[in-house]
Amino acid sequence: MSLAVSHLSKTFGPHRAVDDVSLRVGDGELVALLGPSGCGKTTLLRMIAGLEEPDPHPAASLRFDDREVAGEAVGRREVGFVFQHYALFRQLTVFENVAFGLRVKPWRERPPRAEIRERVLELLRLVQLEGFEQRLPGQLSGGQRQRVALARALAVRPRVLLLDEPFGALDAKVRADLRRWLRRLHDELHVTSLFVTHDQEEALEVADRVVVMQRGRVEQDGSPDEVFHHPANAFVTDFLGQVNLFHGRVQDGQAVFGPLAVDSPPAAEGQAARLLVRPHELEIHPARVGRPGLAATVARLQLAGPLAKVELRGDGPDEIVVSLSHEQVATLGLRVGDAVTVGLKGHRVYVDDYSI
Amino acid sequence: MSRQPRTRQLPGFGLTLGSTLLYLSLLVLLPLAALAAKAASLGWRDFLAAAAEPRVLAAYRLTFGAALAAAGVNAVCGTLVAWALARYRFAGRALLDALIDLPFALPTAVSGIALTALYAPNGWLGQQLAPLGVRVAYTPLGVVVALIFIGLPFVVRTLQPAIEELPAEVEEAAAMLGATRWQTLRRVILPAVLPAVLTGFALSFARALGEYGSVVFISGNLPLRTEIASLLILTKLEQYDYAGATAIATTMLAASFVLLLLINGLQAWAVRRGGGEQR
Amino acid sequence: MRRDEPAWVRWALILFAWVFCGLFLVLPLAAVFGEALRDGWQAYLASVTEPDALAALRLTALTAAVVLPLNLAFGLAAAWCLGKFRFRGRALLTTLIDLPFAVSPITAGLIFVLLFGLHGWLGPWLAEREWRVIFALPGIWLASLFVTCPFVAREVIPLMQEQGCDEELAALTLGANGWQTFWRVTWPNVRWAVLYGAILSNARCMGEFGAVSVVSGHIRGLTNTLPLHVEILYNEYQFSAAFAVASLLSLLALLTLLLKKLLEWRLTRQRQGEPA
Repeated sequence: MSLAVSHLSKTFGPHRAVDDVSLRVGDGELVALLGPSGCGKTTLLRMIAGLEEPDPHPAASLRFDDREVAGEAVGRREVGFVFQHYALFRQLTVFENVAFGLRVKPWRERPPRAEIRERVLELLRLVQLEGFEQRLPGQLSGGQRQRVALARALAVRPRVLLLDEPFGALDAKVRADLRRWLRRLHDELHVTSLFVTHDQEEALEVADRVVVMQRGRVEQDGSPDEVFHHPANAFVTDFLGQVNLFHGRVQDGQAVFGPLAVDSPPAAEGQAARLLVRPHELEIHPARVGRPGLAATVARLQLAGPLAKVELRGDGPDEIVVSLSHEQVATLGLRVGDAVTVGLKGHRVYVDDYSI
Repeated sequence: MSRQPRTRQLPGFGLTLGSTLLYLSLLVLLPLAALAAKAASLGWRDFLAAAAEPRVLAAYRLTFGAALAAAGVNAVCGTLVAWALARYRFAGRALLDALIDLPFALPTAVSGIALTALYAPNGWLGQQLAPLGVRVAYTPLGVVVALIFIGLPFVVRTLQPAIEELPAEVEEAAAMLGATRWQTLRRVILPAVLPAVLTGFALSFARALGEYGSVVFISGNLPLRTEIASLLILTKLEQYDYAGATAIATTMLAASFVLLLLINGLQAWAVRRGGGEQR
Repeated sequence: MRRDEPAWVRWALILFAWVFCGLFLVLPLAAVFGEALRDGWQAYLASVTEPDALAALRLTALTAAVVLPLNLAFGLAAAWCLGKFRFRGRALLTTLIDLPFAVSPITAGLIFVLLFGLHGWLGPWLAEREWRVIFALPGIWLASLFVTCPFVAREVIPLMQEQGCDEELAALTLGANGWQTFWRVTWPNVRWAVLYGAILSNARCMGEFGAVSVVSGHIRGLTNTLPLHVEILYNEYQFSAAFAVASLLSLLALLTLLLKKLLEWRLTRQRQGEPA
């Protein structure tokens, strides 16, 4: 089942939460809606589920394959929705939570008891919660509740699975485990899925495709590799991981940032330009070697973690962050206070009049 | 993202709102409108004549005076009881805690005759008090006693959560800054629970203004001396003096509404203060 | 240690609490049972099984049976629209529901006399059809409904508000219809609070004196509820009999307190056990 959203908008009072958004999720695809909080991603997800009414617009449409579902009631759309805070039925056992969607079917469509039981147990096996059937949600950990919510949503064999910040309320370790598990589960089930997150790492690791949103609009839609390595604009670059930002101007067809000059995209002379460089795209040389680059001094060395992080103080107001392997740090013999020059290995230049 | 208005996707809004409004209109608003209309039909002169004759004025004096005295006693004693219940663990605490609600649960007629039996000159307590020259039953003091009984739970139940929710850190901080227990109590705890004390006082006062059942037996109902406003309304009604009954009832109802507004204001103040002090 | 008073202050306060509550709460309760049994068990039993007493008991039970279902229906409807939705005028409506608590019981009776009494708005119209409301059962029911209507609603509204709509919306996405959502998801979440409100409402309904006194007309065997029967016996100087009937009402009050306590314990547990 594929999902196609065209020209959906949603206004709350004066606030335009979702602004003319279109996107597609292919059959069996797992897509992440990524953006800062308040960017409209949850509202979009709720509109797809039918929990929120889109603003009326002639071109607005919401299709599951070729079927228009925009007018359909929540319960008719056959979507599985996993809520941010799980929304488990607190008075029902884990078993009854998962069985709910099957039990409330009209009796003609309702599977026999034995079949319901079999299906629920199978799902609980799938989410690794065998033996927890009789527990109440209050007796489970956050990660377990999350998996019950997922099993509950899958029980009705939804055509589309929607997940709202599925790991938002969990601590770091559990998040990491669960998202790997979700990816494996999706590879097994291939249910068309759309999930909302504000965590870029999560989106890049789990999704087949990432849709980056800001202020109710889609900024970029592409594979994790594309959005990370070829971000469409400064917002996406900044949002997808730590970045060093330098301000400069266009001179003689080059963008000039202090002592650094790089090729500029076509732009008028003197236009403001910005240079965005990720920490791993910078290199450090001792100042005495005399390589061209930005002059800076080492302000702090952070050696814990798989990569070493070096914070440098240059001319600008912000610190420059460089990540190096531990071997490189050792070879360079970096100490706090050392004078160094910083060079570019990779970068992105933007001269659009985009403003933050 | 949860600041969105509550969803309309949930069914049943129109049905439940419609039936709630209809039910309230028929049961509460229409009858109250009948009272207002009756009062309005009297005209100012008749209204004042009925609402301000000497017997009625005496009843107001007694009702408001006794209610004020009882609410005052409850504000002080109820605060101490609430403190003991909220802060200490002692034998019989759960029992005492449950008993506090007795005046809510006991029919007022029953509490009325029970208090009278206790405080009548030949009653268990009346006998002890008589030699001291103190008469309770059939005097204004009896009215106050009955109103203390009826108002106590309001003060205790308002204060208990307020005391329980006081953050321990604040008291610890005060103690570490060198305050004595008494200073902490006076400068830290008391200001924090003051809105709750005032709210409890006002609730207890409001309830006492309208109280009937627990008072009529112990008061003796002597016109001009121990007759409360509620009883006077009933007396006028039994004499088919609808105008008189309406005038008194309207005056008392107006007083209740003013108190209701005051209580709402107090509670809003308590919430604001509570919020302001925490963060 | 840091937040405790000296031991003597502590003990003085505990002692004060017991003495004050003993004097004002325990003694009156003890007086009811003491006076009721003053003339012995035989007289006690005779007083509570006498025909008028039984008729009063029946009427009180009947009144409760009429009032309670209406209070439950109203309370749940009001809680659903006020607890689950935001709309203009919501705060006003919430205040309006509490209004009967601000009205004196005597006034609560009076307004129905002014509406349905012989000289009231609808009095002549009712008289033509020989329908009686005042000094008859409907008047007693109306007055009882008026004084008890906030109880269920005010317990359930804050709970529904606190619980939000997520569970209900989850049920809808799983294909449940409105009724299924209410009975399978909302009801289990609020049933203890509903019961709590129902118990309070029932205690008030069975014990209501002032409002019912105004509209009942005190016709023995016909429009006398238990509290009114207590008053009549007391005013006829049949003290033991009055206290015997009063002791029944006191037992009801004690049962109410016990159930209330148990439910409070349950509700706290439910609140603590729920997912964050």
